[in-house]
Amino acid sequence: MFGKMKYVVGLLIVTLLFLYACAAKQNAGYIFPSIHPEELEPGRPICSDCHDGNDRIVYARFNHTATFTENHRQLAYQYEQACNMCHQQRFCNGCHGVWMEEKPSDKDTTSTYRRTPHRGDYLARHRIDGRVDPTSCFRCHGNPKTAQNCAPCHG
Amino acid sequence: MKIEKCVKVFSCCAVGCLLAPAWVVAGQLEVTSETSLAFYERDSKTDKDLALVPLREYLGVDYITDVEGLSFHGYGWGRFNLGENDYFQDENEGAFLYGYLEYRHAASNVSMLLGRQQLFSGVANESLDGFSLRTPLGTIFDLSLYGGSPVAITEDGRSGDSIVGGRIANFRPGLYELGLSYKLIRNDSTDDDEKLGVDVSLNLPYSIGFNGFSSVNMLTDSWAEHSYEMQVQAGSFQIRPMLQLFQYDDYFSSNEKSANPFRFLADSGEELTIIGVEVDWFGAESYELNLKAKNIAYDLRDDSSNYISGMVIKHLEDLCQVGIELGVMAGDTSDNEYLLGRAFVYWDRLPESIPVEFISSDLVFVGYGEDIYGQSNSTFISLGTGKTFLDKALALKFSLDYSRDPYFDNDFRSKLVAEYTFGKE
Repeated sequence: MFGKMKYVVGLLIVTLLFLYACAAKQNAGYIFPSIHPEELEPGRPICSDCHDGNDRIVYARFNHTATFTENHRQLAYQYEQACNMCHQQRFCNGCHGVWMEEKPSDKDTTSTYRRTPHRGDYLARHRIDGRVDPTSCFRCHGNPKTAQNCAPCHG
Repeated sequence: MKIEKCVKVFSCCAVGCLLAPAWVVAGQLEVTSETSLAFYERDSKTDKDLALVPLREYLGVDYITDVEGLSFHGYGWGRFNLGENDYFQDENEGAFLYGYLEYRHAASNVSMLLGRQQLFSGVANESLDGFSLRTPLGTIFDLSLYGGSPVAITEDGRSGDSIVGGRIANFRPGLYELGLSYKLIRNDSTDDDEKLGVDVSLNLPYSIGFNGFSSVNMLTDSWAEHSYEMQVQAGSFQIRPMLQLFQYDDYFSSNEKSANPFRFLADSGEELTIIGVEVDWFGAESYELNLKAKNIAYDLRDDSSNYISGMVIKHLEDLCQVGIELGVMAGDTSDNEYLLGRAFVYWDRLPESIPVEFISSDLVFVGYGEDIYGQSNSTFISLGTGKTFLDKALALKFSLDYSRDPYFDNDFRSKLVAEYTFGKE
C-alpha cells in the first residue's frame, strides 16, 4: 500500500522546499523565545490567562490542567520548542529518559499535585492497564533499553 | 569499596563546584545537583528483607559561553547502594542521559544541537548521539532534521546502528499547523523502525480546536496509529472528544531486538479503538473539575473495557490544593476491573511559624475486580515535606511512603533529597 510512499514523501518535501524558496525573501516567522520572557508564578501555569489564540500555538492547549501530565504527548511532538521555554531536557528525562532506574513517582515523591505516573500500587495495576491498552506502555517501554524495567518479570 | 567509590564521585563533584567560579568568569555556569538517599527493604532471589540504601546523584550542567548563542548542557545519574548486599549487582550503576553543544541564532530562530540529546519531533521520541537542526523556512514553514546513532539500541554494539529523520511543518499563526515527519532507525545495518507521520492542528471558529496525528509503519506498509482530538470551549467548560486507532501488527515491532513484553503483540493482528471524552470545568475560580470517559475496544478479541473517572481539586490560599479522584475500569471480564480512589493535599507556602515550607500527601486505594496474588485491594500512603535554604539555591525534602498491595505486605520507604543549584540567578 505504501511502497511508493517514499517517492510521495520525496515529492512533498521538494514541493514544500519550493514553497519555501517562494517565501524565503520574507523574514523568519514566529520565533519561540529560548526561555519564557517572564518569570512564572509558582504552581501549574494556565497559559491562556495571558495568551490569546492568535499566536502560532494555541496556548489554551498548554494549560497545565490536572491531567496535563497524561495529555501532553502530541504537544511535545509538534511544539517541543514551546516546552523548552520552561523545561530543560532533564525535566523530560525524569520520565522519558532512556535509562532511568527510578519510576517517575519514586524519583519525585513530594510533588503529589503533578500526578506522576505509576504512583501507588501501579506494579499490580499495570497487569490490568497493560492488558487493556498496551500501546500506552509501549510509548515509553518500547525499546530494548527502556524495556529493561519489564525484563525481570517479562523476560 | 562502595564508600570509596562514593567518596571519589562526590570529591569530583566538590572539585567541580570549587573550580566552577573560575569557569564562570568565561561564561555562565549553572550546576544542578539532586542527591537522594532512600531506605527500604526488598527480597532478592536468594535472600529476604534485604536493607537497600541507594544513594543516587542526578547531576546537571548548563554552561552558556561568551560566544553568543553557544551553550553546553549535560545530565546524568549514578547510584551506590550503601546497604551490605549486592541487590543492584545486575543493574546499571548510572547513565549519561544527555550532553550536547547547542548553537542558537536568536534572530533567525535557527538552533543546532551536537551530542547526546533527547528529541521529540513528529514520529520521533528518541535519544540519539548525533546532531539535530531546527530552522524556520520563511515565515510559514519550519524544518527539523536529525541524524546519528540511537542510544536505545546498544546491546550488541553500535556498529551499523543509525537514526535519521526530520519534520517539516507549514503553519499560519492562529489558523493551523500541518506537519510531515519521518524517521528511520537501523540496527546492525538492518531497518529496525521506519515511520512516516502526519500531524495537524486546526484553530477553528467558535473556539474549536482540532489536532492529531497519524503514523505509517513503512516496514509493514500500513497505518500504525491514528490519534485525534477536538477541543470545544463552551463557557467555562472545555470538552475534548478523542479517537485513537491502533493496528498492533504495525504499531508494535516483531523484530528480534524488539522489547519482549510487546513483541508477541506485533503478530496478533489485533486492532484497538479508543473513543473517549474529557471535560474540564473552570466555573468557580478556586475549583477545578475533570471528568473522563473512555471506551477501549478490540477487534479480534471482540470485547471492550470502559474507564470513567472524575476529579475535583479545590485551590485554597497559599498555593494549597486539595484533590479527590475516583476512577472505575470496567471490563468485559472481571480481571480487567478495578476501582481507584485517590485523595491528595499539597500545601506550598506554609506559615512561617511552621519549620517546613510545604507538605505533600497522597492516599491511593485500589480495589481489584479479581484478586491479584490473593489480594483484593491495595493502599498507598505518601507523606512528604521540605524546606529551602541559601536563598532557595538548596532544597531539602523528605518523604515517607507506605504500601500494602499484592506485591508488598507492609512496605515502608523513606527518602531524603537535597537539591542544590549553583549559579542560579
